[in-house]
Amino acid sequence: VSAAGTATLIGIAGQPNVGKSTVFNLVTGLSQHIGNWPGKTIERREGAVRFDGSTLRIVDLPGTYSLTASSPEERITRGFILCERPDVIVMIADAAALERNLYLLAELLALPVPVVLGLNMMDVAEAQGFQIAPDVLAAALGLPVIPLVASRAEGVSPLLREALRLAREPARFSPSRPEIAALHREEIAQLRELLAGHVRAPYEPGWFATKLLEGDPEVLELARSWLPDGERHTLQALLDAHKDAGLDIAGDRYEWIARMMRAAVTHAHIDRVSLTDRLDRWALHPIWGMLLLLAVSALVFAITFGVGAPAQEWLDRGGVEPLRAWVATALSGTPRWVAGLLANGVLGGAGIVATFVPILMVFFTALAVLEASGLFARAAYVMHRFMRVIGLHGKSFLPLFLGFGCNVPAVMGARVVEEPNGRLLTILLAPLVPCSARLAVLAFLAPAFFGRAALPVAVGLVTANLAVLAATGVALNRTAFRGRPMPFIMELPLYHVPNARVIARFVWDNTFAFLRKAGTVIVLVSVFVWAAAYFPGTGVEQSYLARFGRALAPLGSVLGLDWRMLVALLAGFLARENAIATLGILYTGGASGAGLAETLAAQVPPATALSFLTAIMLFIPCAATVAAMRQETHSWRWTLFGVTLVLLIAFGAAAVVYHVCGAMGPGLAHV
Amino acid sequence: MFRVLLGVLVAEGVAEVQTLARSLNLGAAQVRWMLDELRRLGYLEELESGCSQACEDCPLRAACSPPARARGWRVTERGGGALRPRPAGSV
Repeated sequence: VSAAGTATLIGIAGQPNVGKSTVFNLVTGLSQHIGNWPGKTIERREGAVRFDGSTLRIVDLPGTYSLTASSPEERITRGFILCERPDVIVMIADAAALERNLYLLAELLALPVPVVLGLNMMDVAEAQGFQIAPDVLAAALGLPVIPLVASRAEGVSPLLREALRLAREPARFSPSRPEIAALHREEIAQLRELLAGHVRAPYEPGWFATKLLEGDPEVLELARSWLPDGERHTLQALLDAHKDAGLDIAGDRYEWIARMMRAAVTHAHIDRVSLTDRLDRWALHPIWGMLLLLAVSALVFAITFGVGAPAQEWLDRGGVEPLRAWVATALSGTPRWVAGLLANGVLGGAGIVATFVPILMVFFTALAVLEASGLFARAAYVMHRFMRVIGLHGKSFLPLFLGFGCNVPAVMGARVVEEPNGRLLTILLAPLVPCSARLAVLAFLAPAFFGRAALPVAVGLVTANLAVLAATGVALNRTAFRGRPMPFIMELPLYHVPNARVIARFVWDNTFAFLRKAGTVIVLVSVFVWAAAYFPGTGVEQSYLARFGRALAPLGSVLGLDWRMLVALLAGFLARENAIATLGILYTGGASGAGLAETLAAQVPPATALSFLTAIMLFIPCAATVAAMRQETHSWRWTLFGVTLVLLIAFGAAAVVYHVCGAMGPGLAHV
Repeated sequence: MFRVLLGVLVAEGVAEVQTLARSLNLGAAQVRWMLDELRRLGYLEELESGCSQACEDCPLRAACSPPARARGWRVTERGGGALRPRPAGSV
């Protein structure tokens, strides 16, 4: 029957994991020969069997989703059919995923070979509610369709019988082929005309032209090598002008598949509403979903800072401070700078790292529970529509929301955003969220500066801070991240009860990563700032930090800030609260309570006060946040970009505030 | 249908497979397959999971329940470009 006249050559094709090899093993038994496809490392399995008076030579082809030459498996399958010219192809399909499998059939039918379709896993398909009528499908497709349960060896003999019959009478094969490229008939005709006389065996000109239009790399390479220069350029221009024709061709195959499915398949479970569907009607609702999200976010916020913040304070008062005091006492006999370096520089930095641990552990636990339960994905979906206005992913909402507590988890939480640009933008914007330390500084300084007007001033500053965040997001989205499309599709997971081991591992991995990477940077920065504020050892006012502050006086005059306020801003880099302590040292010689408030009220004019508060709200993030930014971006370049960006925003906004206040009247510019 | 699906994705900005399936009167499996096909053709890009470790290397894979992470795709530049009308006079 075959070209050689001795055996019928049958290729078994199919997508991966459809039971193709099971069928091959059932048919060939022990008579298998295993080698490699020429020039490839992919296994070629071949066997021979006597069936119904004929010798069948059977080749198990590699699993492939389509026949475009984008993978070695696809090239092998296509090459086998075109070059070895089998008598028949037996295509095994997963009956429970028939639509996807029919795509390969649509491609096989374009090749010069008869095809028999074996519908495997019919039992699984039935269990999933699919009711498939093989006879109806056979009539619609115009080719034999045999139901199979290969795992129970059911249907294999009828499959072989049909394959042999088709091999003996190929003229009987008259399938209903998908009519593809209907929109591109003209281009196909142009391509055929261009290729006339150039397309060589075993390729058929019509198939070759269609594959070219689909952008098949192997066919394109052949066409380029066959065509003379001038025609090659015409070909390229034609293909460039229709580079998305592949989308229409795939669409035509899809229409054909949909017709076949409508004719022969019904799905009994299609209308069944699952528990996930019922819950999602609320969780994904534009209003209820948003309220649920706000409730969940508030709960996470409350747990993170209700549990984490007291633990942080307890650790600070009960562990870090006594340890620093003990070290200072123990080293009292050593030079003053040694005790200062260890107690204030090293242990000061290490203390900051340690006190962040409880808050991060609680935050990561909440994050892991939300993600593992499937709630986080839904929150992201609900928020995406709003967040995308500033170029952010919906998943950015929760990290940024938590940034009100602390910017460190906000930056680290950005890792839940899979999309790289969205993740980066979240990291860059997180430092602009007014964290609790900034709010604490605001809560102390606003009454000191503005007395009864403190509340509207504070509310106005926080509102303006959020407006700056949104405006920066929009600006970055339209400049640095410009032209990168954001349309996004999600497949939401089912709801799950989170696994405790997975949660524990997640919390440990992430907390340990913070300690190891960000912790090192924080301790180094702490030592550096301490040294700058201590040396040359003649008091803070003569320290290098103070000299640096005085050197920045020209900048200070633009912002309306004297050198003491600039130094306080810089000291806030280690931790925002340091700004108050530094003001206390520089204005009053150490007071940080009511004495400082009175002094500031007496010495600082409203315009300067407002400029200082604006700057401190928007100023560069604290050292811990910068370290987290470096850890999460894996890039000093982006970290420096982020720091410079907020620095410019802070100084720019402070200067505007100072000069606008000055323009409104001398009462605002002087005490 | 692929162009329709791509058009809906670009117009909506954000879409979910089940909701998409209902609005297009298709099965979820069908939409999932079409998304995979669009990814294969280069019009969509599947986003990597936020997990830094691949499941096959993870010591917790036995304890891990079926993946609770969402799968996500985004429209590529080619996907967005495919919907733009061709300039007049093109070949």
